[in-house]
Formats: sequence, structure tokens, C-alpha cells
Amino acid sequence: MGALNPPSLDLSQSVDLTREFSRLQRALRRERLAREEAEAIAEKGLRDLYLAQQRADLLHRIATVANQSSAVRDALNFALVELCEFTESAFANVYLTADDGEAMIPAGIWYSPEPAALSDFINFSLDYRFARGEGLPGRVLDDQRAHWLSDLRQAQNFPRRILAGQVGLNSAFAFPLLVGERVEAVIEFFALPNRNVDPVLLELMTQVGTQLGRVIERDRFNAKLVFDALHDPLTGLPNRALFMDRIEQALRRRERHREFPVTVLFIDLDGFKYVNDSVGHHAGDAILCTTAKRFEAALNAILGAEAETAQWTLARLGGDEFTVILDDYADTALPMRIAAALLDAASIAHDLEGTEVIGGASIGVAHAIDPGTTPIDLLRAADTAMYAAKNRGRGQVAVFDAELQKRALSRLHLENGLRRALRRGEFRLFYQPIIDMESDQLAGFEALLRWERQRGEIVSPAEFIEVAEETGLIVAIGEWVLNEACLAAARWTRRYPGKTLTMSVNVSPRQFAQPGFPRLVRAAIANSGIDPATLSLEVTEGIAIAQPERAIRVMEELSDIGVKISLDDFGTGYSSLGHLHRYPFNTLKLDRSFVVGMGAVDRRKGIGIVRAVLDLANTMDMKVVAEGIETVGQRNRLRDMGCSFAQGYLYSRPLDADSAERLIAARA
Amino acid sequence: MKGVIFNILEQAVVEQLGDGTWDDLLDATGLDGAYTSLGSYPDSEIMALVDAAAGALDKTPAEILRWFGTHAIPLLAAKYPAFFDGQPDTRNFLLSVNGIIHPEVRKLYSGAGCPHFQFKEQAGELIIGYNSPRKLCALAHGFIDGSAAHYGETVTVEHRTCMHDGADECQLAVKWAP
Repeated sequence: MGALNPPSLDLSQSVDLTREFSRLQRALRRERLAREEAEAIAEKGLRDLYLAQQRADLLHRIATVANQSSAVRDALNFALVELCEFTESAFANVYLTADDGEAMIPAGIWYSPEPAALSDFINFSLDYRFARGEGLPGRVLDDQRAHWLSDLRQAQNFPRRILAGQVGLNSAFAFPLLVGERVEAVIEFFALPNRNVDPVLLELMTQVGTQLGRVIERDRFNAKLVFDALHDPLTGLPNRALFMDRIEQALRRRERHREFPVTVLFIDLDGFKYVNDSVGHHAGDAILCTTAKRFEAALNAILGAEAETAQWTLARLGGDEFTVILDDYADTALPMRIAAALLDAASIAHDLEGTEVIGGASIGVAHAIDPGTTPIDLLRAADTAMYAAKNRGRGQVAVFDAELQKRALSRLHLENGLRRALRRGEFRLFYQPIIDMESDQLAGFEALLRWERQRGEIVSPAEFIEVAEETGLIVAIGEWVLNEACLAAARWTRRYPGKTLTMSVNVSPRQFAQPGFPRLVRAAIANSGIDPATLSLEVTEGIAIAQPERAIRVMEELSDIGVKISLDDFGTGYSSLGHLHRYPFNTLKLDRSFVVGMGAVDRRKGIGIVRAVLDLANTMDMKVVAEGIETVGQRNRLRDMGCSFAQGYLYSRPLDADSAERLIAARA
Repeated sequence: MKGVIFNILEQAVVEQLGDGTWDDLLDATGLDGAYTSLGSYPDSEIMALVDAAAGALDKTPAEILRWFGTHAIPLLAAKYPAFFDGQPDTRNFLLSVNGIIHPEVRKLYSGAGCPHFQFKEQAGELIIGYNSPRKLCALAHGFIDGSAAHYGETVTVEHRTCMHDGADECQLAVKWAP
């Protein structure tokens, strides 16, 4: 049975098997295709991952160098080698933007793994200047984006086409180094094979361009820092540091060539301080800027056309002080001609929003003469000459000469003498009694500084206080005065306890301006143990005017300590009555000139002024101390008008410490 | 050895020798034959397959490798056309192996042990130096033959020196028919 039927059975089985077999084959083919597709996807993923990693590594290396490198050249050199290898390029070259963005010039920064074969092309590229829009760099400059040339043989607007063909370069690309929106440089790459545009690579290069742009930006910034350190921010002129360096270099050249002339001109604007104080700082700044431009133009007009090789630098040392150094000139009259031209330039009026401000300057001229002249010597000499010019009146020029030198020397001598005096304790205090006008009793003293240069030779402050103030010695001297006066007051209070006397001490502007002045006052009080209320600090109007806000702050700090503040020389300067109430003054000193004025020809006016001052003081709860009382008449009149205190020869000359003490003892 | 070579070998065997042959070779060598192009497999497996084929076809392993190389080229050209399209002729294609093809291979398969060929062009011939410890110079010979066929050129390849004969490196001299 089974043996008969199998064929039909076998047939059906065989049909099934064939179907089954072909189904399996199809399934296998599907599986194979699926595997191959999966492999292809995975391979693409691996390749993309690899390339992304390579790009990230490259960017990282470039960024690291860009961040670490302070020199643009170093960073670009490194980047060129890296990029050449990464892009398998045969030649890479950097162009810098020139002519205000109108041209690209070769930077001399380039790389080629095998330069010999490309030397003709490289040499040409290192020597060719591309106008905006011309060739590969010019086009990148023009539209600020990367360009790709896949076939140089067919390239249009590519001046190096024939040369490229000769050395076998077939493709190129270039991208900009941008700082903000500006193209600062262009890097171009050339390769031997034809290469189709690669958007991913171009995007990468754009990022590289940004990184390298940062190096350029930072380099600019550094250069700006150096420039700022050596230039005056207001006018852009060289500042003191750069100017001193220029003098130094000129003097060094002079050391080698004796005949080499070096001259410094010191220019100070006449009346500038007044403009600054009255019209304001903005107006002052505008005048300084205009003046700088006028001076520069005047110097250019003379020295630009000069056949000789004169070197010059115009600088602003600060404030309204300008300087010029001239060297290596042949015409000995040149410095005076320049001084005259600068005076002319300075005398042109300034128009400040309709207000005309008259200009003017004083100029000091100093020539390097002695072999050992230092920059500071020369500048100081020109400064001294300038002061001499100013003393002769506005718009003058003075040359530092033997006479000026003599005067400068005596000044220097005085300065040295003051230093010695401080060291050796040659300063003395004299005390002028202050009298309560109502009771005619001794109320206190004003401490007055004297310098006992040699035994018995007393120098008055009028002879040295200006130099002390200018050199800053006044700070140390003032501190000594303050301490010495407090110690004397404490000594007298101890010995004659029944009598409360005040001690007035003069404070100089420089002393007042020093940081921590209230701390010094507090220390002097603590050191001596006096009652702060017995100490009166006398300040001048100048202190209040220079920096009103700061002055008020310091005075309030002093008031908090408990000391009294007295306004010296009221009415002799610029005092503005309107602002007087803002300052915590306790006392007004009525200047000697007003006291004298009461007895002058126009006595009615003199008395009126004194009465006005007394009324004012009364309104503001201030006591008045009249200075320079010499006659009984003056005393009576002041007493009648209600003046509280007085000092003057009528009562007593300034006394030395022993005499002052005897006076206290006698009155006690 | 990269899995892709096993895949190409399988494809060449199946196309040239029939469906069952590859399975016969796997049976003969006791290998399971699951190769993916992404994987790496012991060199010994490809050598076992080559030896088995040599035994079955009564050829030397070198003949099998050269045969494989020749027939692998059109398969590779179908799979990776860019390598071939980018070069105008056999000479340039051969010269691009070190600089273009092998770097690309490494992009896909990190750590792939690609050989480095030394090329020397001299009077009318291109000398290719090969010194891989795998000693697959016969495969290289087949690749050259296959490449020439791809570009429609006629070349002769002369095995000047061979590591199998104790030389430090193999030198294959390629000459183009005039």
C-alpha cells in the first residue's frame, strides 16, 4: 500500500519541500540584506563618529593653543601645520587685512609639508597683494565667508591659475578670521587632488576661524593695554612714562655723539585752572584736546616740512602741562621757532558752546648741556624755566640759563635744608596769645612755625612754606607742629589746671589732603591727653574749594572727634558765602587786611565789611577771631561791634614756649 | 582579519563556485561562519578556509589567495565605489592605498592592522614593497590583477622577492602592456 502510493505522496511532499526551500532562501536573502544594511548603517555611524572625534580633537588643539598663545604668529603657525595635516593640504598661507579692509597682504606665515615642489607657487603667493574681491583671499575679504574652489583649472577670478596648474595644485579653500564682523585675516589651503566642496569641513574651518580670531582680538587688546599704559587717555598723546623714556633714549644717543642736541619744552596753559574751576571739567577737557591737536599740527607744520632729520615727541604730563622733546636737529634756532609756533597755537581762542575762552601758554625751554644730565634734570629745568616765563606774564618763553639755574639751586638748597631741619629738630613753635575781647583775658594761643636755621637765626614760614608745600615736606612738618602744639597745651593744662586755654594749629592744604589726616589728629590728642575741644584746626579756603565733598567729609570726621575747625583768611580767596553753611566751621578768622581796612581812607566801607562778616558769623553761630590788632582804636571798635576774640601786637607778639608759659602763670 | 574580508571571500566563492561550496568549506574547517563586516576574526580562520579551498580545488594556497584577490576587486568596487571612482587608472589606484584607502579603513574600524606598501616608480614599472607578517603577498598580487581588470588595463605582476622564500620583504613589480 505504502509502496504504491509514495509517488503521489512524494510529489506532494516534494512540492512542499521546494516551496519550503524557496521560502527559506528568501528568508535567508532577507536576513543577509538586513545584515548588510545594518552593517552599512553601523559603518556610516562609525565613520561619522570617527570624523566627529577628529574634528573635535582638532578644534580642541586649536582652541588650546589659541587660549595659551599670546602671540598671534605662534598660534597661526601651529594652526597651519595642524590644519594642513587634517585637510591633507599641500600648502597653507595666511593673509592679513590691510589698507582699511581694501586689500589682503601675505603675512609671511605659511606651511607646506613638501614646499620644494611648489616653490614657484609659494613664492608668488608670499609676494602678491590681493585687492578686495580679487582672487581667493580678496573674495573671502569681500563677503566675509569661506570659499571653496574644487577645480583650479576651471577657476575664474583666480590670478594664480596657471602657476597652480604648473605645480599640480587642483583644489583650494579659504576662510576668514573674524573679530566681530571684521575680517582680520584669511587662511587659504591648496591640495593636489580635485576635491568637492565639503560643507562639514567648511563649518569646522569657520569655527577654527573664530578661535583664531580670538587670538588676534586678544593681541589687539594687549597692544591696547601697552598703548594705554604709555598714553594719556584724554588726548591720546604720549604720557609722562613714555615721554621720560623718549628723553632717556635721546640722552643716550647724546652720550655717543656729543654734538647731538636734545631740548625739552615745558608748556603750561595760562589760566587753565581758572577755566576748569569756573566753567567745569568738561570744558577743561575739551580745551586740552583741542590744544593737543593744535600743538601737533603746529609741530607737523614746522618739522614735517623740515629738510633736517629732527625727532620730536609731544606729550601731556597731566593737568595742563604739555611737553615736547626735540633732538637730532641742525638749526639751533629751531627750539625757539617751535616755542613761538606753540605760543601762537595756544593763543587761539576756544569756542565752548558759544562762550569764547581766551587761550595762552607759558613755555620753558631747557637744553641738555652737561654730560651727566638725566631725564629728570632736563624736565625739571624746563619746568623751572616755565615758571620763570609765567612770572614774566602771560605768553612768554623762558630758557633755562645760569640765572635760573642759580635760583633752582637755591631752591634745591632750601629743600635740602628743610629735610635737615626735620631730621635735626630745627623747627620751633611760637605762640601768639588769643584774647577774649570782653574780659581781656587770655583765651588761648595760635601755634606758629619758625625755623631756627642756625643758633639765633630764625627763618619765617614765608620763606620756606611754598617749597615745603611743593615738595610735600609740609606733611611731615605739619605733623610735627600738631604734636608739638598738643604737647605744649597738655603741659600747661597740667601745670595750671584752673585755666582752660585753646590751642589753634594751622593745617596746610597738602596736609589736609593726605589720607588718614583725622587719624593723625586723633593720635596727637591721645598722645598728649588734651581735651579735644581745646584744639582748633585752622584751614584755608583753598582746602574747601579744591574738593568740597571730600573736605566736608573730613571736617565732619574731625568734628566727631570733638576738635574745633576754624576758617582762616576768610574773604581773601574765592569763598562763596552761599556754601559756607555746608562746612562745619566753629570759628572765622577775620583777616588782618579787614582790620587795617577799618582805619583806611574809605573807613566807612571797611567798617561795613567787618560788620557784615561779624553778622554773618553770628547768623551761623560762629565765633570770630580778629587778627592783627595793633591799636586801641581797632580793639575798641571791634569790641563794640561784638567781635569775640582778637590777636595782634597790641596784646602780644608770638612768644616762645617759656614766655607763653610765664604769661599763663602771670594771669593764673 | 576584518569580517568584511570574510564576507567578500564568501561572496566570491558563492558567485564563482556555487552556493554549496562556502558551506562545504565551513564544514571542512569546522568554522561556524558567522562573520559580520564590523567584527574582527582570527587570521587563522581565513587561512583555514584558504587551505580548505586549496585542498578541494587541488590548488596551492597562494593560487587561491590570488584568485580571491582578483575576484574581490569587483565586489569591493561595488561596495566602496568612491575609492575607485576617485582614481583615473590602476597606477593611481594602487598609489592611493596607503594614503586614502587605508586611512578610510581605520575610520571605520579603529585599530585595523592595515599593511603599509612601499612604492617605487622606476623605468616602466612600479615596484611595490610589502612586508606584513601575514605574508599575504599573493592576495596583493590578486588585488593588482583585479584592479587592472577594473580599469580595463593589462598588467603583468612579477614577484621579484618573496617572504615565503626567506626574503625580508616581498617585491611585486607591476608592468603595463605597451
